[in-house]
Amino acid sequence: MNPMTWQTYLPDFWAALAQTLYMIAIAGPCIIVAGLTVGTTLYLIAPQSISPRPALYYLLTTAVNVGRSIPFLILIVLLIPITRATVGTTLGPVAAIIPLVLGFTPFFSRLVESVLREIDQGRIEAARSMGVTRFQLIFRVLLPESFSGLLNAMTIILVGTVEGTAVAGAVGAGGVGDFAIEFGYQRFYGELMFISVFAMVIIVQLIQITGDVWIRARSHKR
Amino acid sequence: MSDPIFRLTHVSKTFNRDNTATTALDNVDLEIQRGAFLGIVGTSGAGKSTLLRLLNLLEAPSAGSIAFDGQDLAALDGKGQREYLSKVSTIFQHFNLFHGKTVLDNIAFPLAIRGVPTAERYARARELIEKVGLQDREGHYPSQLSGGQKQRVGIARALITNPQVLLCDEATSALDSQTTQTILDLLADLKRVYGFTVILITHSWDVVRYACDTAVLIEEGRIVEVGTLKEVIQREQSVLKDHLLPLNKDAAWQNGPDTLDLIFEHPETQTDLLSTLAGALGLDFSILSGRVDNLGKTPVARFQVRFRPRHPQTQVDVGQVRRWLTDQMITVNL
Repeated sequence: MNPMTWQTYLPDFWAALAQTLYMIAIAGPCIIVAGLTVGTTLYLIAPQSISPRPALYYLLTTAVNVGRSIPFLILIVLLIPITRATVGTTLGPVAAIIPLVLGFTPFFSRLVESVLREIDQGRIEAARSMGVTRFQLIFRVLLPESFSGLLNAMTIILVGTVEGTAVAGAVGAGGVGDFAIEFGYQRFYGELMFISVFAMVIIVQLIQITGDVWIRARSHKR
Repeated sequence: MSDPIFRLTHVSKTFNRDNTATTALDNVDLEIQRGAFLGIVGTSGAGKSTLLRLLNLLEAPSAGSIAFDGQDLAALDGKGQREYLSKVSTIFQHFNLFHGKTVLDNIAFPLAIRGVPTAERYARARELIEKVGLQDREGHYPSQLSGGQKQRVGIARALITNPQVLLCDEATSALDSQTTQTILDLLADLKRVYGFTVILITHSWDVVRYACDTAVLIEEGRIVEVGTLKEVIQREQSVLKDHLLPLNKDAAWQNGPDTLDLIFEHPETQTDLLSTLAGALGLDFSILSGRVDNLGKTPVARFQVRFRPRHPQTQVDVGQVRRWLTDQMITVNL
């Protein structure tokens, strides 16, 4: 008789959950900062926009499209040399951060760009007619005026990142996704599979509800 | 005597979109006098918005030059432009308030971007909130305000830098007629207090009649006519006058040789002159059409009058009538 029951592996589950949260906590903010930077740049340098740089825009927008078109699993493999060179290993949650950031920043950049394009042109012209600098236009007008839309985009991208950690887990990053495959699937503990999925659902719900509540609280600022 | 705050010399503006050039302004020469309440009127697409956008630096002219207080706008560097834009503010048709900021922060914004300390800019903003009548609204967001209240915020925001010129881009076109009047009254009051020049673009002759002392008519990128309302109504032939004091006189029966089209600048006393004239020259008269409009607060009348001899055998000497009327400072339109 095998004395092992699914409860035996619960400590491993908690460790895996901590790894997942760690990956989201590090990769999430990196994606948001990088995506806001790239997205705002795309918005500003687009043809007909505030400071058009058509050649640079074309280059950047192509890079973003290429980034978005590579399936995440393949991106992880492609990035192995870079991950090893920077982190020193290709295994574990720290190693997963680089593919997560590079994999999800392009999509978030595109979301940011489209949110910024939604801003009423009149408000931007009003700000320009007051003599704002480029820096003030970005940080005092563009980003604050589109904050609700940006929150929505952040919610979408963080939920995507949660999914990404699970995929990365399957190729050695650890975390709940890895745990579900290893213990739930390969060792036939249906309970552990259920707990893993349940944990992912809870994380996604927490992110989505936080985003929704925050956006609703700002409804009069739109 | 003439002290223009703006002087536009041979100003043209051409837009190139999709390889076709459209001329929005075509060789415009214009002097705008300090202290004027100027209405720039024209149909949509006439170029009046473009003209305003040249003045608040949202566009640069393709040719020609614009001088503000003798200073060429094209010669301004970044710092100079910022300084200029604190002297020339704009309010907009759709208000263009920042939705993520409170009324107080919206109004204080032009000072915030100029690095004025918080306490100082809020104090100044509260002063203006009172001037535009929005007490108790300083913590509200724009989405919680009515159109008229939003434009009051827009006006306060424009005035916080203490500008010399207030540009109004169809500022009342999104408001109902009642609110339009209160906003125009507010502008006139504030103009009296602060002494700025108002340049207002509009397609509404009602707005010009109600608020402006000077008008510019612009059509297809060219200036058709310029003048103070007082000058304009004294011109024998004037497109501006025909818009300001329109008269229905197209029917053939209204256009005999004995019919004169008259403008009474002081209708309260001058209209009596018609009976005096009839008595003095032995004529009868009838009014074929007419109206009294207020230009600013002053009523001006335009009547179409037909003169007939009292005795059937005689003729009306139209030249004599004309001279008599002109002597009484009544404008006879061509």
